[in-house]
Amino acid sequence: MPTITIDKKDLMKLLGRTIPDEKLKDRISMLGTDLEKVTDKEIEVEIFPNRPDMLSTEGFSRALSSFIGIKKGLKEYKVNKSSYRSKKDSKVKNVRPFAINAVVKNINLDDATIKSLMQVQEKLHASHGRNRKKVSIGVYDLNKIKFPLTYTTKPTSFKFKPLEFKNELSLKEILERHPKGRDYKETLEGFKEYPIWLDSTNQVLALVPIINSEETKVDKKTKELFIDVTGTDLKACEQALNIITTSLADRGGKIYEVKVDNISYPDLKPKKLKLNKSYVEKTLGLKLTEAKIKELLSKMGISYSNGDALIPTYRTDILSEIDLVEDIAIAYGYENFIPEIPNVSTIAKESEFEIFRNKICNILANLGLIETNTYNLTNKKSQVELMNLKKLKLVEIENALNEDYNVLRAWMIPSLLEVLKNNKHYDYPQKIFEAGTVFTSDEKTRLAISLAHSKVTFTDIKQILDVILNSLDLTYEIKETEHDSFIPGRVGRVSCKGKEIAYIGEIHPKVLDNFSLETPIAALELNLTDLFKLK
Amino acid sequence: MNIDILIETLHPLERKAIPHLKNSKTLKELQKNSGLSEIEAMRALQWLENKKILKTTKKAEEIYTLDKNGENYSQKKLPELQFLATIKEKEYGLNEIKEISGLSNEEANISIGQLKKLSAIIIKEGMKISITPSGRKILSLETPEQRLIEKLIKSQKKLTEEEKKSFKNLQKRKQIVKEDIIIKREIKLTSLGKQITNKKISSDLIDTLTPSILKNKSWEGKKFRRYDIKINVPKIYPGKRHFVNQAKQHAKQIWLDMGFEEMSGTIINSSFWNFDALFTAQDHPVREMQDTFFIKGTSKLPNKTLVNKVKKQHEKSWKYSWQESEAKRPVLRTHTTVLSAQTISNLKEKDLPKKYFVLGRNYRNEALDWSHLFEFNQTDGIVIDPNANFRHLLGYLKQFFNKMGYEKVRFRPAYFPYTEPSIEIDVYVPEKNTWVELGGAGIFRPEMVKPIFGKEIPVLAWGPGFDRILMNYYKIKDIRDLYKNDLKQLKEIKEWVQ
Repeated sequence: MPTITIDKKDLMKLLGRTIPDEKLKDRISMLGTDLEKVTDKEIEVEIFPNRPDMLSTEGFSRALSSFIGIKKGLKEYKVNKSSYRSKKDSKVKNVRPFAINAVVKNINLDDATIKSLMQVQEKLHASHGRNRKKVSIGVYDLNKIKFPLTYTTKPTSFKFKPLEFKNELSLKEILERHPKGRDYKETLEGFKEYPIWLDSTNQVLALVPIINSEETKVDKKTKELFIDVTGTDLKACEQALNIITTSLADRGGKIYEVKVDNISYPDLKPKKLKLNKSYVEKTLGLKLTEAKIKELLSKMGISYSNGDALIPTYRTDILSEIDLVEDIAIAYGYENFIPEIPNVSTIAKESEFEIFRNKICNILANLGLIETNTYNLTNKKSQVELMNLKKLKLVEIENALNEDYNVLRAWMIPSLLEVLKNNKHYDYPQKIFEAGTVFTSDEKTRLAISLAHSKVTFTDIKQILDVILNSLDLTYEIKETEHDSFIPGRVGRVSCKGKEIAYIGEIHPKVLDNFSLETPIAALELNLTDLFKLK
Repeated sequence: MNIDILIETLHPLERKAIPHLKNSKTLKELQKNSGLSEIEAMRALQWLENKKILKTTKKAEEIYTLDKNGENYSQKKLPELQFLATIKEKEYGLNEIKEISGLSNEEANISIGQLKKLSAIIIKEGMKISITPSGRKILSLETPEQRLIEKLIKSQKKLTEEEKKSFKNLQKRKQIVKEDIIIKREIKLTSLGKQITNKKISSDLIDTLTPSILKNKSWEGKKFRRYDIKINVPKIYPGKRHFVNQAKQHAKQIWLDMGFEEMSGTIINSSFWNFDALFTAQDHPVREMQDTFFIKGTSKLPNKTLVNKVKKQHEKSWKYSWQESEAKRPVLRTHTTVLSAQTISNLKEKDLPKKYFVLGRNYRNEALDWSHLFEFNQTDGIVIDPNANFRHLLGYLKQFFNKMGYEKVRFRPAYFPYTEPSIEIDVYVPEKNTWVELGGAGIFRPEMVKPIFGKEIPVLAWGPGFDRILMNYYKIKDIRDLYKNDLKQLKEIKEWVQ
């Protein structure tokens, strides 16, 4: 989840008040954000992905300000009329179809503002914008561009001077040579032409969503900004534009519309949502008056009257009534709810298989065996090669961490041999067992037992099989079989009521050698899922 | 302790040793006098010392003795003397000398070096070696080294200054002499010991009670040897359930006590159940490769009606085109909440209210380190009740964690795609004086419940991690230690007692 760093002095300035660290810590975590760190100068806050509006210092400060009661209620933003126009060429449709703009004037680009602007842009790109694929934002000096603007595409040989470069580069070269080009070239993979913003003099504003042009860049003297947002999801683009423009307005900026193909942006008119008082009360288990709901919502920057809530456009997380209920709960304070166990009668029921599995495991522990707990993820070498097998069908992980853990186990005994291998330095006998999941064409629970000591034989493991099946009042048969992991003539297939349920035998010396084990081992692998059905 | 009772506690070995203590000053002497083996005598002394009957002192003693080659030279004389003897009558070349004397190359070379130093030989033209007058003198008088070797045939404890010099010279040569350190155990009786040795030690105590003693009643009128019941005994260990499973069983019992029913299901699931049914958009970052383990192949989807309802809800709320192919990708479940979704989809309204729980393994694509595991345990619970509310959610959770041993539980706002309101559960760990984050809970969003259940109904839900609770309880700092399967750890770790 994204974390933002906020200059404490800047925050206090925006809040218009000094807040002690202890209160900051407490309030920030009860607002639905997570305070990671507080130092003398900065605070670090983790922002949940549903609140991209808090990714800017201004947005965070706005939310905190109303939550702690400094400036409560809906904050309205005026969008001034203008003659700024831009249009989209139909060529962008299959590349990056959506583009919207805004202008913000009366900007004082001091260090705090620049830092915050850069941070919100970067964080929005990463999370909300899915690394610029879904949404990307560009900021330019308004006075360096001539309206109307065009959003179009150009072939990869088209050239312009990208930010921080002295010479012109072709679009193709930018992707190869410019650091930003290298970072984000995947976003344009497979396209013949790349998206470009041009002004009326054919000056390039940017190669979208990679890099702006050197000519239109923002500097210390910039007082007026042009903002473009492009992407593959119009709603997400609008949210980003709203977040950026309202943040700038919180520092005194004046927002001006830009008409893109005759539609005016940004649209900052609050959205109306119906809210049913009894729904709120029923969901939260509280009795609330209309006035109380109004007060609580005002702490979250939302206005409310007579069943209607007005929600600011930057609150992109509010999808339906239930989201308002959560805001009311947060404003009420999670710490103020009195937990309650309702008087509801339901009958407890443990899974019958789990009861069965537990009983079997307890029998083994009572016989003096130690239960292990190994990972389901393992590797082919351990499952097949070390077990002296030629092949075994294994379920493979598509994106494995590393070669040690790239398949799901198809049988349990190899896991137990790994355990014994890692415990060679301890005294024998070592008698272990585990009931775990194995993955073949489906998932089953199998019980494996391994007995390791200098005098172990088939008899020892068969005695244990005997105990288990006798205690379930089941009779069984053992047929001689062949299995390359076991010593020939000392391995059997166990069946109950005509169903094969287990392998039992002495582990082959070759396998022991493969696991660097110097002690004989007798082992059993029993299908508990099938056995459960037989009992 | 009364001296007679003390005598009754004596082990047969001690009884055998005691009569000989008076005239045995050392372990060796005791062995000889009592006929006990070295180990038996040692054990007897150790026990007697524990009973303060005697004191033993260890004395290290140096002893000078012959090594392998030295033993040989004590009979055949040192090589240089053999060399001289060979050329006593006639000068010879080196090879002839070797042949006649039987000296090895190495011995011959050492001899030449030694003899030259003593001016006992001269090498003439044609490489003939002949003896000098001082050589003849040496041959008749022998060297001090040779004299020492002969003395050392019987190991010596002390050497004269001159002998020590010769010893040092010989030490430089290969395996002729050696200095051994011998540890001597000396026995000294305490005053208690002196009293005991003057007592008559009866050998008529019963040591081990055997069936034949019982049968012929020979125990009657006899005394039993008294045991030292405070003595440490060798450790034995019980068979044991794995401590993680013990804890899971405990947690399970808490849910059962609260009237919950256990859910079960597979670890491999379709993305549909793991994500889509939980209102997680298909481009949500959690669905990316770096967070989730995907399995090769495709999964089956549930019935079309259900799939379509989920698809419609996604497209309506998240405004994108929902892809069936993405929903079919199999994953290792990233949360047991999968089972909650499946359970809800199988419920009918007339079954309500219902409460369910599960404790199971989940997966995330994460490199192993001290605080991260790719396999982890989670306990999910759901309450499907038309009258359920947020305070009930807090109530169930608080009750559970209280019963798990946490007195203080705290709830904070949080975010999960499929719950609203969402909460983060913290518990207070007094030993660390800190709040520990255990995981999430909330009320399932209507957008999630409606498509899979058919109508909007409150579902309280939680899925906190379980491993951190285990680590707190067992004081384990590295999460990998939960599954290291070290048999010593498994045998010795405390039981889950609460």
